[in-house]
Amino acid sequence: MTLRSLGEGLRDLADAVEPADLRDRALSASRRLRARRVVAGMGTAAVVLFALVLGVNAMLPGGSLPPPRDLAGDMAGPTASSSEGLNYTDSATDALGGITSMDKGTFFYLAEAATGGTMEVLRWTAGAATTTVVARDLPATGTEQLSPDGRYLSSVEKGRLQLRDLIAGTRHESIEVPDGQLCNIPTWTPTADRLLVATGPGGTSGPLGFVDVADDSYTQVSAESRGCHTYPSYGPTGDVELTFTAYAATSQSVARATLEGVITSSVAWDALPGDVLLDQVTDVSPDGGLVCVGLVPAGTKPGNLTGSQSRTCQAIGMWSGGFQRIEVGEPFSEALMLQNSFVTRTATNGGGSTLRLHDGTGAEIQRIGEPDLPDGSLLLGFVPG
Amino acid sequence: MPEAETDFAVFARAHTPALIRSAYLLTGDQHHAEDLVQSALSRTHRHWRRVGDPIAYTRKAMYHLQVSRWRRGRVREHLTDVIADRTPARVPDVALRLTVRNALMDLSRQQRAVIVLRFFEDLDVAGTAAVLGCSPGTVKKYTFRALAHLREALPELAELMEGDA
Repeated sequence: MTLRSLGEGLRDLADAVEPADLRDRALSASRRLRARRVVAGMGTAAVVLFALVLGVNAMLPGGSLPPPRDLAGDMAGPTASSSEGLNYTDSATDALGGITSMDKGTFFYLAEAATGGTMEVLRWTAGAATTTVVARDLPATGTEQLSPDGRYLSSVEKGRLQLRDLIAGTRHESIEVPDGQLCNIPTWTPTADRLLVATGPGGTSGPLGFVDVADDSYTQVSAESRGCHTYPSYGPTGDVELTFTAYAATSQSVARATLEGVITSSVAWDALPGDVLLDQVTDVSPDGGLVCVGLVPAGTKPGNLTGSQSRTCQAIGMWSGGFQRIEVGEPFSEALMLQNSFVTRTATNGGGSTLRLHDGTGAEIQRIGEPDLPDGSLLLGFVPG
Repeated sequence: MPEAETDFAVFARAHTPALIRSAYLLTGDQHHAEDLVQSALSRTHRHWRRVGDPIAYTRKAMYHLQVSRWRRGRVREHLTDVIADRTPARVPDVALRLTVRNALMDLSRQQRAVIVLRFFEDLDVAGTAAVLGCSPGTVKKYTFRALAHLREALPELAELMEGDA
């Protein structure tokens, strides 16, 4: 036999498979899972009931106090053991099919410390009852970014790039960079080994380059900053692409360019129907397929800086040469773009928040409730379990 | 048996053979292929009343489950020199099958899924992207890389794959 095409080779290989009738096995598996979910649901209900009883008991004179929040990292910072459960080597960029579950995944939040005046980073493993402080005494700079693997927190303080290792509990001052809070803050590449920084005055224009986390080396690229809120991602050919908000005299746009500075696609800020305009980019998925932007009312002047420090993602869209908005059903306050999937966060009437995982089309895959978090906490990142 | 169960049974009987063939190309193993199809069918059964296109849903679930399993390391791939041979109508070239299979198993999970969808399921780039839930550009990227690898691993196909990407 000779091969006439790849398809023929595959069909011939598939001929080697034995036929099987899987109806009964599939039905049994489905029923087992359904039964497990019923049991799990009853267990959850029992836990909730127990918690309610404890809460009522604590409110009574002489009642026991509720369990304290886990402050294990407060005294000496997080230890290596605190990394258990995080998979730092399984990058989200490997998941062609997108993230399929938040179970055992880890969420990171930026919140004001209880003592006030400083910020701290909280880590929460989905399903756990408590959060852990993994970084504290942070000044509120508005430049905090979490590496996609959840290991580092980057920020700009006093003109220098700061890197906090959330596993080792260490802090490291890297290269000198403009503060740039209003325009270009350092953003992580999907591989979590480099940060894109704009080194022009105020981070607004001028050279762009990458800082290697391993040795602080800086490599300038030929593209110059041509806008603000620049996020790197990996394009179809595996090359890094930059998505940013470009400003002109009378309008704005969201654009994508190569590292050589060649604009490959662009969307005018009035691309959406209705009285809203696309504003700053707030997040881009590792493969660039999903982009989240803020919105401003029609009539806003280009380059309006109001709220430009905000992380508010208001419109999620598929980026394929254009911006195809994805509707997710319920309103959300924050969102994280992942590989072919994304997470949204929605405040509930009860005062808490719900996290929803969506596939690349916006269909909801899973929703979970958050633990009790400080008011105003921001969702920094998510690392799948 | 309720009507929905009957409908599902008819659906599963009709489509399982084709699904297993695709699953075998994805996993390279008969038992893993059956497990994969069983899991996908189980999902379809649980959502049967809400699924508009059961075959599209099952196929999508199967590919997503496979990528997910690999990512979580639950399934360890292993290569053996034993290929099931059930005396088909025409005599197969077992050595060639082994070569094709090894070349396929050498691909990354993303590349393999794209190759199977495009060249076995005969889906175009847009259809492949829809099943995998990714962008057409991503599909093109993995197709390009996978074909480059296959051209090296399967020189007898090299000339015939020109322009396939």
